[in-house]
Amino acid sequence: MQLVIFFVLAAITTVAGIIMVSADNIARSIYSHVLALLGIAGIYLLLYAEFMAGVQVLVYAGGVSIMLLFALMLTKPAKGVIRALDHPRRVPAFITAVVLFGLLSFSIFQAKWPLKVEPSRVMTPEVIGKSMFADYVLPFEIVSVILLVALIGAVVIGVKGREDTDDEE
Amino acid sequence: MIQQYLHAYSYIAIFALVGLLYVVVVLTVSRLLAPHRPSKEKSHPYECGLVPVGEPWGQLNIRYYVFALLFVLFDVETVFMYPWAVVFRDMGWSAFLEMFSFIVIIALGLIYAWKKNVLRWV
Amino acid sequence: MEFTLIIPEIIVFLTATAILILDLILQQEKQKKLLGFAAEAGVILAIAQLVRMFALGQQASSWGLLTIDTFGHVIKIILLVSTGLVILLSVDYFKTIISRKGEYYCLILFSVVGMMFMVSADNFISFFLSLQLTSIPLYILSGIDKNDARSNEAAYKYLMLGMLASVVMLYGMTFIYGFTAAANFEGIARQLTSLDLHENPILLIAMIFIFAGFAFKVAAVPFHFWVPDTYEGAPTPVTSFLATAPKVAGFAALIRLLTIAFSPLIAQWRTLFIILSILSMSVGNIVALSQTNIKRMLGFSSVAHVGYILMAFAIADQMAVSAAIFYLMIYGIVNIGTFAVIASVMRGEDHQIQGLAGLSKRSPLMSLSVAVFMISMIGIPPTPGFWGKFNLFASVVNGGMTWLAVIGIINSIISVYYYINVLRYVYGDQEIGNQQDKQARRPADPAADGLNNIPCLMRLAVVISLALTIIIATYPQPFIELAKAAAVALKTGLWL
Repeated sequence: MQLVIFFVLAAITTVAGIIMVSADNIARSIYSHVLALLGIAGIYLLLYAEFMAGVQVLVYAGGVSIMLLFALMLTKPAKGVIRALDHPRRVPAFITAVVLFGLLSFSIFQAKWPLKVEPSRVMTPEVIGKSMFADYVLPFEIVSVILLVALIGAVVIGVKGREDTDDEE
Repeated sequence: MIQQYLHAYSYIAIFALVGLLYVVVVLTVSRLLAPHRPSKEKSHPYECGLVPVGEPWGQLNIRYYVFALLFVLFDVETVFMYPWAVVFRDMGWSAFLEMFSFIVIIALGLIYAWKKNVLRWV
Repeated sequence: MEFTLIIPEIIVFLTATAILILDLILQQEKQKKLLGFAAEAGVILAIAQLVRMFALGQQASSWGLLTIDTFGHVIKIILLVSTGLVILLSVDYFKTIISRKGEYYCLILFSVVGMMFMVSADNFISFFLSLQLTSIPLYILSGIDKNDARSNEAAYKYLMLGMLASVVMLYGMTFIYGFTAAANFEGIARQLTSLDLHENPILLIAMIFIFAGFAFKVAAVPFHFWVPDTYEGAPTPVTSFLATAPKVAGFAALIRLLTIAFSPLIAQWRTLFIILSILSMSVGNIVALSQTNIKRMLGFSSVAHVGYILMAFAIADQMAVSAAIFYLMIYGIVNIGTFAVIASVMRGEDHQIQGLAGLSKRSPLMSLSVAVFMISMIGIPPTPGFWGKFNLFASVVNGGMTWLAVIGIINSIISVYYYINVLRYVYGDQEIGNQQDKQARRPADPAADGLNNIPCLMRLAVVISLALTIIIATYPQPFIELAKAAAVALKTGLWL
């Protein structure tokens, strides 16, 4: 049963991912991105990572996608023919991707993974909170500093300063 | 316990499925029942009855992006508060101080953005 | 209290936040100079605390996913000295160029906090987060001169490739975690000893992914493609920061990761580093030969220096690691010195090497400094570059890879050409410069007039780098001992 659910979720994620990279309309690509992220959230749930799934939905499918849409709306609307996203190195890139995929999946199946135990407990927020506020205090505080830096960076790059010339955006 | 866990989430799956079905059913029924007579006026985008002006895809001011980013930052902050809220009673002061410094650091960013007039809605 | 162990980091962090707040309070542009001095004061305070901790010589202790030991102290002192010089250089350089001075110092200091944690991290989680804290400010800093299109390009390229490298590295880490169920370095080492690598090629792939991330951060071939454009486009003080501090931190973190977490796989990664080292040395030096822009040239030369340092990982014994740390010290000071000279004599130009023509006539101090730094980069005795290379090559020979040392020496000989080329312009007749490229000389003229009033803080940055270079040249022994003490302090099974 779980295997069936996994394959359904994996199929949704993969198809959404393919649409995302191949869609001509960027807005469409962002929405299929959301779908792919939701599929991944479902896979997290199957892996008993309840909290991770919640984070995935809240932060990625919610926040990050909204930011992507905002970023899209900041761009100038394309007029006339949209330049095709073709690149002369498309074929080598494709070959590289396929080789890498083959190599990785071969070695993943080849490997003798040492841990094949069922998780004894579900990763509830409680379990995570206990370890986060006891053992992982420093990483937790580093995260807040990273968020602060991201905010400063957005202001530095995105907002006009007093001495910046007018022609920049 | 694991069974119970999966059981709890089956409701979400059912809910999502029903939602999806609803959309499909409603659209199909409307396609089947409604008369299909397109005209130029009908295919215009609906803008409260007025004739639409300009492109649908307008360019926004870069300022709005900072709002989107602020939203994501506080989104992440909220995510960390869930596990904190659950264990707060057990862990007491240490957890309180940890979360307090976390929020102070992020609030610093908010004060900074505020003072730099980034939050002013132009 | 346990958090006394991270007092230096806390000092730098508090300085950064204080600058952020001070920036909001100070209204006039003139007062913003204070911010630079505040940053400098914080850095000096942190250095003092680190020296005190080093002198106390406490046992290595772990706290909060960090290992605080002598190795970390030494590396952090190198980091902070470079940062102090960069800040000194920035105060006058950015007087007119950028409007966001408070953010500039603040971001540099936050990045340094990240580097300091990265050097001490003994766990994948603390390591990856501190790596992010290091990198994100660097992306922003390289694009801080928003009115300069090249600066924007620099930031964009650095950001896109840097994020890709981080993601690849994280992917590699997940495989290691899947095998060992441990995120801390010692736990990983314990688990890895009991695994058979031949049955699990994925371990090798995971390791390559992690090294690819590192190779990007320290700019080793073939992950160096961001270097020329980012070095050229970023404002010169930022370039000097990019060329030194993240590399020192990256190498230090790599040393800790390799000697502790991946020590059971030493046979495999040594081979990888031989390849990386030879590629970086050769490509860096050969491409540097054809550069006409001095910042691009220094970028490729730094790739070559990374190649020399990577030789130490091909040996990976105690002597080689201490030689690498010593080399990093010298590399940091000499590079910042060189960029300091470029920042002082080439403001608002396109940084062509011809622009330096006749510098000896205009400014004896600057030309002397250039000469000392260039000769040091080549590694001619009695400069510190010589001691660094001597130690490094000696350790490689000692480790039984004479042929690798020979490749290193051949590369050093190639590098003589482009370093001397700079001196040819600096000390050459001004007429030669004129004949060669009249067009290129003309834009340099306003800067030549400005040469007489190089701001005193920039001059100070150059003089301090020069003084440190001369001190290491005359008394290399204490610094070699320092590097040795750092290497000995590592808790690894490889030294036995």
